[in-house]
Amino acid sequence: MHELSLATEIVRMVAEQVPQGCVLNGINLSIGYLSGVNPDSLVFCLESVIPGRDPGDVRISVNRIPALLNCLECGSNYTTDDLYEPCPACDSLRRKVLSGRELTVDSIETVEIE
Amino acid sequence: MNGRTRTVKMKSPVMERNDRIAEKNRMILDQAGLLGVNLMSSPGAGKTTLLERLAERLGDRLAVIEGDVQTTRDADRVKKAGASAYQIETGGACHLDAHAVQKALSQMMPFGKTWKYLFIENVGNLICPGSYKLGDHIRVGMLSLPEGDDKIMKYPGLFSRIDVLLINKIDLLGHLRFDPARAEEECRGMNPSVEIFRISAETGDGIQEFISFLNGVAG
Repeated sequence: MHELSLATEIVRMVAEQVPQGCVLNGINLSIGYLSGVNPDSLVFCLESVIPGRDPGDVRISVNRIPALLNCLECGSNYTTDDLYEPCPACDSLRRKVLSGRELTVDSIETVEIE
Repeated sequence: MNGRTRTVKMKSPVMERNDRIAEKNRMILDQAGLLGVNLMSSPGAGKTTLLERLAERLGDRLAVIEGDVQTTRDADRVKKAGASAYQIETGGACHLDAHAVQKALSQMMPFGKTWKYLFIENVGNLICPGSYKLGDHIRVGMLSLPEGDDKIMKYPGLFSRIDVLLINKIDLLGHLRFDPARAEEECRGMNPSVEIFRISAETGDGIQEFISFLNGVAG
């Protein structure tokens, strides 16, 4: 995907949430394994587009969310970090994705300016 | 810095703004009685040729939003074939997003009274368009024979999210090492409810079946 435009959107969303008299210190993201987003690339782009800060001033943390798949052959659910993993119970590749596509800003860390 | 630290909870999906605009787009289409179709594929798979074929059969019932980095070539082709078309030139963006479609829809108003189908031909790209909701009712992915039958698994972001797979240039079967059954099986594996049509936009083969399907969805 195009992590740069995602980073720009994240910066826009986050800027609205920083309280008066505070500066941004950290961004906490959740990225699902099936979101199509490369976390290293996204962090790199975020560090490049956060205005007025040097890379490293804002700590960016990524929580990876495993995918939850439902096997359409035997009905069992299983988690995976790989879309191509077959059902561990019956080895089928016919399944439905229940979760794992998330890309969210969970929270931000801020610090009051003295 | 020695100031007090504060955590601000957000739990905000990054695509939220896009998705909200997509919902507004969908409402506009619903109110106008239009069936919105997002058509995605790599460059050269045959999206515009398909739209020319549809324009010949559907005429003034078809309106198209064309998305390209540059030129109005595709909109010109579709207009020449008999449909209404509006061209978006993204100037560099590799996909259409809901905001771009919202602007296009407002430029196209008032909508034609004869319009029934609103196709959005996305920028040629198998990766990015799949992630952006536009407000359509049906997402169509197209794979053509020269691209190879191994591409479904290589581009799961798109092929797992589409409602319809069109396997295009089926008239070349026998000239190329493409196994349609393999591509279909791989698509169904990651997308069990997908509808699949083998078509040739060049010869018209399979087009009527696709139109019948669209009419079934439109209701």
